Order: sequence, then structure tokens, then C-alpha cells
Amino acid sequence: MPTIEVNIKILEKLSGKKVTEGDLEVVKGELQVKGNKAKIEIGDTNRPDLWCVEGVARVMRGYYGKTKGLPKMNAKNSGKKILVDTKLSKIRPFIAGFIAKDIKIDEELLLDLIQLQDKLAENYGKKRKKISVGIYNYDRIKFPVNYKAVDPTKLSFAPLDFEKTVNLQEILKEHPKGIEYGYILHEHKLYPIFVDAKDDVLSFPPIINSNYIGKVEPGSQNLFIEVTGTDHKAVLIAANIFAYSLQDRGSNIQSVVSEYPWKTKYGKSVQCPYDFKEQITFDKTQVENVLGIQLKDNELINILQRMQYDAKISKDTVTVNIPSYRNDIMHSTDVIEDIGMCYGYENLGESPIGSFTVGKLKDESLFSERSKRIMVGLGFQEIMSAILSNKQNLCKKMLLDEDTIEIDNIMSESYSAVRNWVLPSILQCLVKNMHTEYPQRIFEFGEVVIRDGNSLDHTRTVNKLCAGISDISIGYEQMASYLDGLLSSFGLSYTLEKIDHNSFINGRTAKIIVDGREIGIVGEVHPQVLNNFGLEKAVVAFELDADALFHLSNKK
Amino acid sequence: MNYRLTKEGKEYLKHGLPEIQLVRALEIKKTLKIEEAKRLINNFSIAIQWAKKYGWVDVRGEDVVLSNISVKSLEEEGLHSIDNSQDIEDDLVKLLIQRRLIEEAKEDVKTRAEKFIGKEVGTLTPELIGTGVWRDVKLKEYNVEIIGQKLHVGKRQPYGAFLDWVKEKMVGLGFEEKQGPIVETEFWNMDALYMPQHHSARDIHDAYFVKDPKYAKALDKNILNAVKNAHEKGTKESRGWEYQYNVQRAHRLILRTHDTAISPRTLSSQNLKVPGKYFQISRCFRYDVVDATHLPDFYQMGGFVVDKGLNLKHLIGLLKLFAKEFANTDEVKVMPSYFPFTEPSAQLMAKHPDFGWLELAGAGIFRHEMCEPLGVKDPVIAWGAGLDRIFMMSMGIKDIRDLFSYDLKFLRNSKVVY
Repeated sequence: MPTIEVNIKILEKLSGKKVTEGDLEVVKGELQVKGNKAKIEIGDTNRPDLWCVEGVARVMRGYYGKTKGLPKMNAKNSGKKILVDTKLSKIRPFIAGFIAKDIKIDEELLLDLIQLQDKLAENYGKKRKKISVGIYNYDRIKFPVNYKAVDPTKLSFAPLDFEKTVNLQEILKEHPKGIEYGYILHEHKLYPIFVDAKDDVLSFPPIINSNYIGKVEPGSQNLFIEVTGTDHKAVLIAANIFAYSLQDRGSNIQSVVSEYPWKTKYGKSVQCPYDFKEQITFDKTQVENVLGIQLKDNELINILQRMQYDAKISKDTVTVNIPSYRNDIMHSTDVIEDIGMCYGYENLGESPIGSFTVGKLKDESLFSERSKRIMVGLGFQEIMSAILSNKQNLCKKMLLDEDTIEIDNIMSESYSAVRNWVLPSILQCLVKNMHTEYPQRIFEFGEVVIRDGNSLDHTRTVNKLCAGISDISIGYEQMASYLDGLLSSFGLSYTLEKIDHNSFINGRTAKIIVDGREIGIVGEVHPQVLNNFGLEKAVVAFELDADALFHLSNKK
Repeated sequence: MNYRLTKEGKEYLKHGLPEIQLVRALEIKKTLKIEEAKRLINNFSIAIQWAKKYGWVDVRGEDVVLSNISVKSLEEEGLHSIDNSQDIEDDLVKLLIQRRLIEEAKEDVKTRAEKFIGKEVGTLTPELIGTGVWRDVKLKEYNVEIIGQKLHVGKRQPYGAFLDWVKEKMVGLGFEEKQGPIVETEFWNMDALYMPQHHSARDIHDAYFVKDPKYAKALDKNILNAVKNAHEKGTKESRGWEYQYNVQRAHRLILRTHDTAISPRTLSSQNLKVPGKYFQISRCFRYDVVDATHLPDFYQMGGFVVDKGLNLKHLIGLLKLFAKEFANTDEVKVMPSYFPFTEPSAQLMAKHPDFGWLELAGAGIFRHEMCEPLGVKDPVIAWGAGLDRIFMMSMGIKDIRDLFSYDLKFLRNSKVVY
């Protein structure tokens, strides 16, 4: 979830009201105030327009009736152009830029701009892959600017925080940002570069600005903002978000046109800020269908205007104009949710669900409850474990060379494989209790994942029932008795057949067979395994395929 | 075990066993008329039965004749031995008891019990009870105020018991249980929930990916295509996410990140009932550092209600009902929230005396773009709740790692609440 840091005073100045916790409900935000600063966690990952103080304040202004309807973009046409190189069409084809004039850049504003730039590029822009944002000192640029593809070894400039001039390839190797974001360009032979009419470099998108034009400091008065990326719509939305934010901060916005040598979804000449002129229509009854409330036409219009839409209703059809900085309106319900939020969820009231349905547990759940009841009756303490484990515990310490389901992107070695049996969990529990009173009788009824060639997912989730006893003097016969107690409680007749298993002692291990089907193992744990886990007392155990047991006991 | 002769046994020891008496009589007369023998011998029927059995005599018409001259009675020897307090073979004991010639020496038991008469007795023995001697002893008074010694009884794991309690409650509210696999495809976990493949919405679901194999063999083609279309182009009512859907990525195997992964399987099933109420409790996995508030795997309980005419007000009612049933609190509020697969979205907040407002559940109405590809036309209100936090609140547990505690002392002493 995106979290932004804002200056409370600026939020209050922009929203025109004192801000309290509850005010942020309408942006799905959570506010944490610390002195002058506040952290706002924005719940909506699909509304990048809210990831800045101006966006939050804009919603509040509407909600509290200080503005009405669709916020207007008062951009004058600057007549300036960005010329796009056709060679970029397979690399990073889209760019949108605008000029923000007459704004006094101070530390505070600069921080807010950098924060928004960062949130948009990292989060909405998928770590700059989809979009990235550049901010420049407008007064140092000679238009028109060129967005082109170049051989990375043939062009050099001084990137931000670097005194020396280096070529693009060197930037990817040496500059911290090059190292971080170079992955986006590695597959390409040519890299994007952004230069002005004098061939001075603005930036090397999406990696780094130049140390001259691309350096914005407090005191600057005119900015040029640009967004590049692979998704044209996202590029335009991000640029719009920036333009609206700067306009809200008092800047005069001037539009810039991107000239493409090919026809894009939005034409060959695309102006920025871009007006999508998006509309959505829906039947008025939809509001009642979704929210369960009836609104008069004027109430509905009023609510929509408070939520920054322009709206009109004719013959029960509602037509809504959507702001050009919003990314999230796909369906009428997206607008209707805004109506609900404005109305207040707490004001909607509640309705009981009238339909009658029969509740029931899965038979497997009922069987698991029965199994646990019997095990408790036999004097065993139930334990529960994490299902994520590691090969060391599941196989190596158990003297097995088995195949477990491993994790590709592990966070820590301890949780790098999904357990395929439960006995290692039982042993791990016992080793934690070597100074606790004996005998220790414990069991776990839990899920494991095994490979299954017949499954579409190559794997199968299986319930296992595993029990273990540890004591100074304990042997196979005792565990066989408990096993008998369990299986005869299920009315199952079974046979035991001697087997060899690396984790158990030879001659003290048997497989458990019901109806000709092997359903588990019972035996004395091998002393080498005990050593591997650091256990000092003998352990006897059984482990059963509880799903198989369930089907067999159901048959009887 | 001690035995003694019965009255009959004593008499036979003195006068001889009936079959021996018969043999002696025949030794003198060789042949006896049955009528005559009956007069001579007291228990003729017994005598003839055993003598015949042992092959000593024969009955020829009206006569009894001796057929063996060397007669030796084991019973007689046995009676002698018992009378002299000597041990005899078990088989012979059995025979003599069967013939009611000997019995257990009850006096022994009584004598033993009688030793306690007038005395103070600790253990109330079967001897004292059976002989009635308990009437004549003083049963010692114990210090009954001493606390009993600790026993390690079989016990449910507290969290496990809680989960079963939650299941029972859900059944009581008319919900049917569903289950699903731990290793899941991105398709069911995310795509089928209309979560776009390259969208920040998936960041909150950072998943563990399976190393090998990486991809499922296949997915249901019809559902896959319908979901793909909804993502790429939307539906009649929606513009969709407008991006190129990657079919291979849909097959990528991961560990289930949330319980809601099970819902699209239930919704697209032939057996879906409308109206229907379904729930699931499932182990979920997220790419998180393990600490006092995060476990590598955790439990969620979620589900949905599908029926004609359901709206946000029904969802709010349901959430408040849950708060009352599971967290035992009326101090709740339902607030706006965001999930990529619900619209409107909501969250259920409950006030905790120590921690203030806490989120108990996320909820919403499943998006049209999610339901349509799954073939569901009616509104579906859904929720998902982390059970860990509700349980920790109810038990006063501070560290989430205690949920799967391996501390046997803690488990053995745990209070049985659920």
C-alpha cells in the first residue's frame, strides 16, 4: 500500500479545513500525525492520483463542498514540442511533458514533487519499467526537445551527482541508479535519451537526469515535467496527475505536444496534459442495486459533484464525466462506490440476509475432528506447525534423499520448502522440550504437499496424522498399541508389514496396510536421526495418510 | 490360590467317591443288577456316569459289570492332596471345581480382611468391600485440601480448537465449507479474481513461487479464455484492464496467498447453489519477514454469499454479525477499503480495549468483471478475515509466533476455551 508523508499545514491549506483522522475515509486513507508531519497510508493501489498531498486535498475540497464537479485543467498551449524518434517504438515509445510556470520552488514543495515522482515511478510505474518521471529546470532548456534512441557507447554526459562525463553504458555500470534500474534496458541495443535543441542532455530515461538541466533546486521558478514509458495511457495519466498537482500548488500549466512519427492510440500529435474526455453511463437503478439506497436526482448529482465528477441525469440514465487523472474507473460500480463513500457507509444502514441455506462442514473436516478427539483420548497433546520448512529438516536430518516442493524466491533458508510429511515437525517440537517432563506424547493433524503426476498442478495437498512419543524407556510395541487404539476406533482392520525406512530402525518399523493399501508407517526413529535433531531420548512414531484413512473408514 | 474341600468333597474323602464305591462293590460281586446297585450306592447316577466315562464298568442289559480291574482315581488323590494343603495340577483343580468337590478357600480372604478390624485403613481394598469388613474398620481421613498432582492429559492445541470452533459457528450461520490446494496457480489465486498480472495491486500479495515445476499442466480452457478477455478487453459493461494478458503466467505455481483463492473455484463450479453461502479456512503464505506480527504461514477465513438482490447493506449487516459472533463486540464500524476484486470494497473495524481500532476483515461485492467470466450473474458479497489476530485478541497473546508454539509446558497448561 502506498504511504506518503505530508506536511499537515500544507494539507490543511490545500484542503481548506482542519484535518482529522476521519476525513481520510473518503480517500481510503489512514492518517498518522507526528508533529508537523503526517503519514497517510492510501488503501487504493489503483488511484495514483491520491499518492500526493494535492490529490488527497483535492478530494477533501470536493467532499466538504469547497469545490464542485470535475476539476478543470487551465493549461495554455505553450506551442512547444517533443519530437519522438521512430527507433524508440520497440524500446520505450511514449513520452508526455508539460511546463509548470511561475511557481516558487522551496524545500517543502521539492520534497513533495520528488515523493510523487518516486511513488508514480516505483509503484504505478512498476519500478520505472512501465513509466518514469523526469523533472527539469525549464529555463535551461531550448525547445524543441528530442526523445531519441542512441548507441549507448556513443553518447556521454554528466549524470546527477556526477562531475565527470560518462557514456550511457558506463552509467548503467557505475551510477547507483544505473545499477538499480539498468535491468529495464539490458535487452536493448539502443537506449533512450532526452536532449534539447542544443543537444544538451535532459536525461537518460528511465535511469537518471543530467547534472545540469536535470538538476532542480529550491529557487527555481519554472519546471518542465516529463513522463516516459511503455504504456501510453499510464504515461498520460501520470503526467496529468503531476500537472493537476502543480496547478493546485499555484503553478500556471502550459501544455506541450509530443510528435510521434507513427500513429498512436491517441494520434500522432498528443498534447499533455491530455484530456481523455472519458464518460461513463449507467441506469439510476444501479445505485440502488449496489448500495441499497434510493437517491433523488438532485441528491445524486450533488454527491457526484462532491466526488469531483460532472454528472447529468436524463430519463434515469446517469452520465458521468471522469477526471483525466483517474486510472480506476472501468465500470459504473467504480463511480457508485464513490457515491457510497460520500453518502457514508455508516449512514447506509444494514439489511439482514433473508435466504435460508443449509450449513455444513466438509466430510474431511468432520473426520479430522474425530481423529483429533481419538488422539486426545489416547492421551496425546496436539501441536500445530508452520507448513513452510526446509530440506535440511524434511530430508537431510531424516536421512532421506527425497524430493520436496521448494520455493524459488526464498526469504530465509528456514522457510524454503513445503513440508511433505509431519514427523520432522514432531521431532522439532520434541527437541524444544528436552527439559520438560516426560513422557511426551504429541500429535499433529495437518496439511502437507506431495508431488502427484496425475494432478494438473503436479502436486497434491494431503492431510497427515502424525503422532510421536518420547521417553527414557519407550518401544515399538507401545506405539503399535496406540496405533491400534486409533485404527480400531475407526473400525478398520489392518495389517503391519515389516519394511526398511532410513528414518527408522530396521526391524522396528512397519508399514500399515488397510484393504491392501499402504496408509502409513509406524516405528522407532533411527538414533542417527535423533542425533541429527539433537534429541537424547528415544522416539516412537506413526504417520498416516489421513485422507486415505478417511476414505477407507467411510467405506465400512 | 488356596483351595479347600467342599462338604461333598469331605464326605467322598471319607467314604470314597461314588464311582469308586461302585467299583469296590463290583470287585466283590462281579455283576450287579442296576436296581441292586442303586440300593447299595448313595449317588448311583454320579457313580455310573464317571465309572462309565473312565471305562471301569459296562452296562449289559439290566446288569452292571466290571470291565477293568486296575482302577486308580485321580480325583481321590486330588482330594487327599488338597486336604493335606498340597498343590495339585491345574487341570485337576478345574475338574474338582467342576465336580464341586473343592472351592477357593474364602476364609483366607476373610482372615486377611479381619486383621484390619478396629484399625485405621488407607486403601479401600476389594477384600474389605467383598467381606463386609469395611464396616468394622476406620477409613482414614485424608487431607483433601491438597491440590492434586499435575497430569499431562491429552489436549487440543488452543488455536486448533479455536479454528474448529469457528467452523462450527459458520455452519450454525448456514455456511457450507470449501477447501482448496496449498500449491495454487496464479490464475486461481489472482487472475480469476480480476487482479491484473502487472499491477501494483499484486504487490500486497507478494507470493512464494514454486521452484520446480514452475507451471501447471493445464487450466480450464473456457474459464481461462473468459478471464483473459475480461482482463484485456473487459465486458459489455466494463473497459477491462486494457493490457496483454500472459497465458503462461496464469499457469505459474505459487503458494496460495489468500483464502479468497478458493472462491472463484467455488463460483465457477457446476454445483454452485443460488442462494448459497460458502466459507473456507485456509493456510496462506506471504513473502514476509517472520517476526512478532508475521508468520511464514497463517490462517484466513473467508467466503461469500450469492443471491439475487444482495447489496452493500447486506454486506454491512453480515460483517456486523461476524463481529458479534467471533469477536464478541458491538463496537464496530464498516469503512471504505480497496481490493482489486471487489467494488464497492469495505473493511470491518472493531475497537479493542488496548489497541484501539483494528481491522478484522476485508470485504466487498465481487466485481462484475470477476463474476461474469466465472458464469455468475447474481451479486456476490464476500469477505476475508485473518483469524490469527482475532484469536490473539481473545487469548491475550502478544507474539504471533505463539500460535504455533512448540512449548509443551505452555500447551499442557493452556486453558481450554474453545
